[in-house]
Amino acid sequence: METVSPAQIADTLREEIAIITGREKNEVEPDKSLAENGINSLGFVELLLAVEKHFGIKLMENAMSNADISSVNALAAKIEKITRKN
Amino acid sequence: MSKYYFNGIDWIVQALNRQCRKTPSRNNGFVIALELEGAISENELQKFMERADDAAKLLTGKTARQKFHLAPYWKCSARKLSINVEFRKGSPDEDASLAAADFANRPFRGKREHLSVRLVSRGKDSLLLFKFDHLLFDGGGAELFLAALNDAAQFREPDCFSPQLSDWRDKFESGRNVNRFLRYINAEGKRKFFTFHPEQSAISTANRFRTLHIPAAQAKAFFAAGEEKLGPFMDTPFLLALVFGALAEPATGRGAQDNDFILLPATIDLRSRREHRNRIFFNHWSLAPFNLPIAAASHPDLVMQAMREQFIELVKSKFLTNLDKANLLMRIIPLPLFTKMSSKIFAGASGSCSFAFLPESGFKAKTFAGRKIRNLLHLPLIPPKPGIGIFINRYNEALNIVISFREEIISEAELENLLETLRKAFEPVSGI
Repeated sequence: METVSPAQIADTLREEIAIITGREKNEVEPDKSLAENGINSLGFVELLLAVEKHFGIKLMENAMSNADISSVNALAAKIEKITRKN
Repeated sequence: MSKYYFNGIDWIVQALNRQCRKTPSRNNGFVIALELEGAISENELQKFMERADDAAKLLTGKTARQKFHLAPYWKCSARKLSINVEFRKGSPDEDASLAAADFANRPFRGKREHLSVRLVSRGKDSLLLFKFDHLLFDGGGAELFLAALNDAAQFREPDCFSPQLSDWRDKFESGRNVNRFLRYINAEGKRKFFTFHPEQSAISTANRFRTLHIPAAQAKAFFAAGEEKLGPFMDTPFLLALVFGALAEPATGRGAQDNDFILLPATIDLRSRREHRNRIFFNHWSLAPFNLPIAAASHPDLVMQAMREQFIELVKSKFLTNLDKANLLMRIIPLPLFTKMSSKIFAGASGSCSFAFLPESGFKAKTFAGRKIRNLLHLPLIPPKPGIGIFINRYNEALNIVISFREEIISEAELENLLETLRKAFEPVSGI
């Protein structure tokens, strides 16, 4: 799979969060947590499905911690780490 | 705006409301109780409630049907708003759930009353009860309404759904998917679902509440354990697993077999989604059917995983949003017929116990009308079928667990056991 940088991943995540929560992309703050960006349990599953579609990885099957969702950038870093391993 | 066209969930609520017409409350409303520090006078409260005047045309509206399209809508009114604010002197140790039940069981004063308020003075503190009509509000919307009152904000008019029943193909497709999913859950009618129903349906009995308050520290520890087991944002499945486990004992006690199923119709708030974001008025939720055989209760870890998987599958299959869309078609069905249909789909044999979890979302303030809030509880009335529901809301990091039930449907001993099982799950050592 083509290598994608954490910045590119974060950009895609912001787009998807904007679609899910009905915000503008520039309203999604990369340094804030998913919850602060309006994501709840329903939105989180939708986001995981979007990640699967875009990056071909099943985040649900990878151990996720609080730190991984502490910000959009942290989640992007987690995704980048998994894609690199794969 | 003089007309607000209902979405499909609003129409389901109309049907549930109709099912409640022979009960003492005569409707399917809910109470939000605010426990406040300090006294508040009747006059001050009356004056405070004048902040709702902006929303008068909605608060004094009623259901109507468009003659040409048959689309049901909320007919706004130009009447002057007069919110019924009652004052009652209570005892200092008066129980909030008893006071709420007394208020919840009392019907509204006619078809145009959709909000009433009761202030119970408990000496040094106050219990403020708001009874909301589900036709106009859901739990999340009611919190946003209280937040707007508190902030003296202006009430925004709700966006209207089109009265045209357009995109039929898309809606039929959604309906077909919903139907397939429900048939799959029901295993083509072969599954037997546990219900609390007595032989004689006790539809005319009053609604009662029993509550359990879980302090913030215990609630935090509980959800941290849930996150450890199921990952982040899985609070709802974790709580569903707890409720499933707690219901297995009374089910078995009533003769249910290991291969009988417990079905938990859970309401899921859709306000995180673009089309429902920050909506105060009307209903913005969907219904998710979670179910497992009673035998699974002896394997709590498997129950948790199963609830998580079902939750993911419900989102993945677009069931929640399909139901939202497909329901728009149901609006054309006459209400008496729809009531019969919905009582088959959503209650009776197809539901053991209603469930809802409302995380801290709409109302975040720590004071109301200038008084410190000790607690905020949601106490929904439950329709005659399934006759019992477990509703959980989070306020100020603490949790309130409310069992809402038709009296006669569950015995005092069963209730005590149920509460004890739920209480134990939050004890620091045991977990669930």
